[in-house]
Amino acid sequence: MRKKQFFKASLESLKSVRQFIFHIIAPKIEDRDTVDQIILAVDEAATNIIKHALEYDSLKEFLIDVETNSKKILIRLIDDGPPFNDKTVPLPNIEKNIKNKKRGGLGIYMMKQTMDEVNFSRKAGKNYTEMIKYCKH
Amino acid sequence: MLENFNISREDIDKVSVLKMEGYLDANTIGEFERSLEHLLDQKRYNIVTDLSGLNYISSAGLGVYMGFIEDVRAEKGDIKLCCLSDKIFKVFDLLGFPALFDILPSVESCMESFNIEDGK
Repeated sequence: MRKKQFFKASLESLKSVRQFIFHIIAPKIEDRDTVDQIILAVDEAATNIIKHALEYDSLKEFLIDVETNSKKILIRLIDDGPPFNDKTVPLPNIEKNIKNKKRGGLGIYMMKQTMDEVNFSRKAGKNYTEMIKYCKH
Repeated sequence: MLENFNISREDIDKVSVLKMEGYLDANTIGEFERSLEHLLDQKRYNIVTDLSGLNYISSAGLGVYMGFIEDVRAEKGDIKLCCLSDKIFKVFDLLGFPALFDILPSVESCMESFNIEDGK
């Protein structure tokens, strides 16, 4: 099954993003922790796109494309913001962040902690955030 | 499915309890930030956050704790967390918060853990 939906680049879209994902994956995944992890990862990815790629421009939209089968859940978020290189984002050091009163920079780490695979790529002028969760049998 | 966020404050002697309900994400953290700013303006540095009514938190919510804790501890206060559901605890645990913040089972246990001197 495959479902796609566009969302406005506004933080107000986050609840719709979570509901969109929940309605697709909840009937397919029994383990509630796994459902929570996927929803958190997509929220973090969408937050990064809204803030950093599309800079809160609610006239712009990003696409979420979800593909599910018996083996995995594949989620792609696609935006047409400037090129993004995840290699430039350092791993968060929480103690150092607290000392420096730094609040951000946690999203990618959270995505990588909660999903089995997270990949970033650039194709035809668009950023692709691709995340996979494998189904446990 | 409504996904609102609400925060309320109760002052018990020298401790302020912020009770959060609903969904704390990048869109709703402003209310949490304003509540903490207000407490610091009033020089109330013994803060308990009661998360019993919280259904969801993303890293934006954790970022608020990280942004304020240093200022609060510099004034010999603390921001403690209590009443986390398993789901909410797991998010804090992902970032190693249990080693850096007091996470306790109840508001009462938070109250008792503050080292408040009489007359101070």
